[in-house]
Amino acid sequence: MSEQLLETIDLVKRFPIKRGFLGRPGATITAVDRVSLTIGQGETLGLVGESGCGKSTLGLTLMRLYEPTSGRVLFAGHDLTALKGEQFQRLRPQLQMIFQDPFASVDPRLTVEQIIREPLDIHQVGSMADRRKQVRHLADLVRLPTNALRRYPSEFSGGQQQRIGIARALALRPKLLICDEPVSSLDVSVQAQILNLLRDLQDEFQLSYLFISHNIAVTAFMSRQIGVMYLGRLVELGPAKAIVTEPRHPYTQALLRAVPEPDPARPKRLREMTGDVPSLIARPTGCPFHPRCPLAQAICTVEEPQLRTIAPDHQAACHFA
Amino acid sequence: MKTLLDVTHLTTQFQVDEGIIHAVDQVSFAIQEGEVLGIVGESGCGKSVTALSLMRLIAEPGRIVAGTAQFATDNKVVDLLTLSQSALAQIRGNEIAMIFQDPMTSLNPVLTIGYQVAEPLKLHRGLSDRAAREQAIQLLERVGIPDAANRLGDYPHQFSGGMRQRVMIAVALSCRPKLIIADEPTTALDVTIQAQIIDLLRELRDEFGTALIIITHDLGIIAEIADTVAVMYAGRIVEMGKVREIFARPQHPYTAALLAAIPRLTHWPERLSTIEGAPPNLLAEPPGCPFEPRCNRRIPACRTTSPPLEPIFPEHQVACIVAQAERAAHV
Amino acid sequence: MTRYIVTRIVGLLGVLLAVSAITFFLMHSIPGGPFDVMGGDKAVQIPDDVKQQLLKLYGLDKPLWEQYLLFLRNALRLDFGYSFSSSGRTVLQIIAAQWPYSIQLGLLTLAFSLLVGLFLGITGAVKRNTWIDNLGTGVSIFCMVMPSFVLAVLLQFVFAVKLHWVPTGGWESPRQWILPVIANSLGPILTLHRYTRGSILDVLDANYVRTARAKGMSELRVLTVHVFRNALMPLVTVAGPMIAHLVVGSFFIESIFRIPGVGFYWVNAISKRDYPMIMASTVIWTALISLTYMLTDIVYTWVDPRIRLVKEQ
Repeated sequence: MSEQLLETIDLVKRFPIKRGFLGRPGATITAVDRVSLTIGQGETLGLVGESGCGKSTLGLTLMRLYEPTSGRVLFAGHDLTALKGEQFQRLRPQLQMIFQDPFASVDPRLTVEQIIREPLDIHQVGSMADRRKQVRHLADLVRLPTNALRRYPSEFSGGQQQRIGIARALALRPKLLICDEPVSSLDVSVQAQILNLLRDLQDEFQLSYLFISHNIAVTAFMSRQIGVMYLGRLVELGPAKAIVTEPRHPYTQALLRAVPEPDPARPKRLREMTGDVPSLIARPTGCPFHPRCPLAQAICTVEEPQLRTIAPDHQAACHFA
Repeated sequence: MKTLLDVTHLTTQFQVDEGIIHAVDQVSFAIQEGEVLGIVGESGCGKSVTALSLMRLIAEPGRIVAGTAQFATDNKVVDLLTLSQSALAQIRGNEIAMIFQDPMTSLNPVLTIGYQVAEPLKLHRGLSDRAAREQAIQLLERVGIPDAANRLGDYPHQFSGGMRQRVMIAVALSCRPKLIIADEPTTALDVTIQAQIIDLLRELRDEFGTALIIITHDLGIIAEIADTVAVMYAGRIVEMGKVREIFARPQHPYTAALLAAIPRLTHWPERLSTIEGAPPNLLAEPPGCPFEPRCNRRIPACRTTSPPLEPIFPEHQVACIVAQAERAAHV
Repeated sequence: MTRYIVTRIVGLLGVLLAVSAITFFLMHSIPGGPFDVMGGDKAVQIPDDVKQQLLKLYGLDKPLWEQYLLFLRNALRLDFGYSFSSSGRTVLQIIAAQWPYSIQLGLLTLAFSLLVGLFLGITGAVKRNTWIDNLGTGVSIFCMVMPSFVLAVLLQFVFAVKLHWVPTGGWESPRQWILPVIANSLGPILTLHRYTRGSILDVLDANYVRTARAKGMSELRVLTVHVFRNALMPLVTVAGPMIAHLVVGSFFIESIFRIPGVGFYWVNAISKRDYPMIMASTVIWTALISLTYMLTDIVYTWVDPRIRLVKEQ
């Protein structure tokens, strides 16, 4: 277990959904509900869940692209949530992000060179000549063709656009990279290239990743640890292999059963889980999963289970795990 | 088992400023009654265009330029691609139904769900409003919409994505079609909901004996539900056969590479195997095999010879001269 | 819903207040007054002492802010005073007498524009890039570049003066309606054509139209049940304000064809410095247009099930 780089403590993010009367806060939804997790130096924490579970919001809140409603984020010894203005800006370069839709995340009117160089320009790193050199170096790292720098993002395929995004994110030599569904919009063959690239970069630069995805298999490949989210809560947290081979929370079990395996020889599993993806607005009482849970009992409707350790390094939030 | 649909040399092209896009190139396949055929491939391979071509839903600047699609209706066999508009309208929604990828935009937002489910019944079966309504309730219940009777008057935006897709399935099933074409029916849905929809389709196939063409990029879904699979690349079918066969011993380098590149839940390599290069440019029509630039088993002949889709094992065809040659060497 | 209406009406009152204040002070800032000259064609200077008497009579010698407050007080009782230029009639009487002409002109224009605009828009979209679509676009461009008053005069010259097919003006018989309605329709036809064509083109490409075809519907049924309804629904938002702007008349058309409508009177009032007329007209038109916008929003929720005036849980 390596040194800890990032820790969140009871992180909460709420959004208002109805304007209250005369400016008072009205009803809110809790997108991230008291999430506590840690990411080690040079390691990857994967975060999986379906729509509305809050994983993307968590990533954005960690970076304070959304301001946390409450809770703390400790990063490399600093309390990110307490820092203001100038002090926080100085730490910004160490936390970077890559996004799901690589084309939407770049300015289509800038050349690739300008896109990758932008973070260096903003933080005024070195001279222009230094920056240009750094950009060329970064383009090599992500295996972009040499003539790519002069061109515009629209001339590239999805996979290459994602490489541009990665190069840009690495420009300031971050310690932590938040990857928000980075391969979800890519074809399988290209996906494999990008995932390999991310792994290589992690090995070379001792990067830490928060890898957010709805695809468990991809996340298991990338991560040492996996956290499973449901309706804003972290319901299970443990080593990737354990999560995938011995899931303890009923939701994780259902999620794994639901993934279609490309192996026709395996018997087709019957999936008992019914019901729809939950709405954040009509939040169930007690355990958020109880309306769809095959193990649900009376206590589940009343008392919300907390994460508790059920095996070494493995926690689940269930009364019956 | 009777052949339900026999497609030969289907070719669809799009005329754009830069030239002609060969979206579907000499595609041939057959599907039996009650069979589930999966068409799999990555974006741009032509799988969706194939499906839309069969139903003649391709709009300008696309055109079906060649091929036949012999479909066995109750009393005779017709060529879908040359039918008159009115005869085609008799078949659409009635004997062949289609489910589309995006349930949010595939339903009319200002008409009630009840109306849209009843529409094919009134159109093709001549049912009265009342009778169609009764049937609609039954259909919605069958696809798993709770409280169906009360939801007839609701609008699509009042349903979740998974529910909307179930409604689309109900619409497709309404006239008990012989064939349902599902174009990426679960791509826009969450994994757990996707599983429910796939299970539903399997049940309905068992219950009604409907043949199913399911189009997807997800080989896992193919493994779950398809009997036969056709792998497409650059507008052509490069491998086709029984699902177990294809997965157990894929013969085409692309199929093998695709299977190898998928991260699995069962083993964790250090690196994923990849396919080098980028997807093909459909504007060009290379004389040889379209996969050649990215293939790790290519030989010089691959650049000049367009490989035909031919049997290599029982119930297993492949379009690759190297695979065929290797097989011949072992026989 | 009631909350929505109440909020809108309160807003409306605020708007009226603001508009009346701005108009009032703007109006008084124009040099010259209502009693500088007298008598139609032969402008005769009014002697100064007579002018002072008149000003005092109408309360125009008081300080401006006092005049404004008086106006407000009277307006609340719907008393807008007597017109300065029309002897003996109150402003409201004039408006009541003349408005029906403008309303008629407006409604006939609306009917004609709907006919032409919708027809060209629908056929143009359904038969994209054919001769009928080009015809529609041509008509639109014509409407866009041709000023209505120029067309009015041209029509009048050709059809009334030279060919004697129709009278040159007035509003008694239907034959007199033809030219003014045509000239007045230029703007509305342009808007309706472009809006309808664009909307239908968008809908034609929609996924649910593809679904409709996949269900085996004839193209005609696809159009009538799925395309038109969805495409023409947004037209409500355009039609509402259009009606409001049409029924307040058109200065040019009414002048050129000598139609005694309010448009004519209103603009005339400005040049004659007929303050009560100006204020009353402005306030009434503002209220009318605001109410129309509000009604349009409400009607739209009946038409489109996805729209609700306030966020629903």
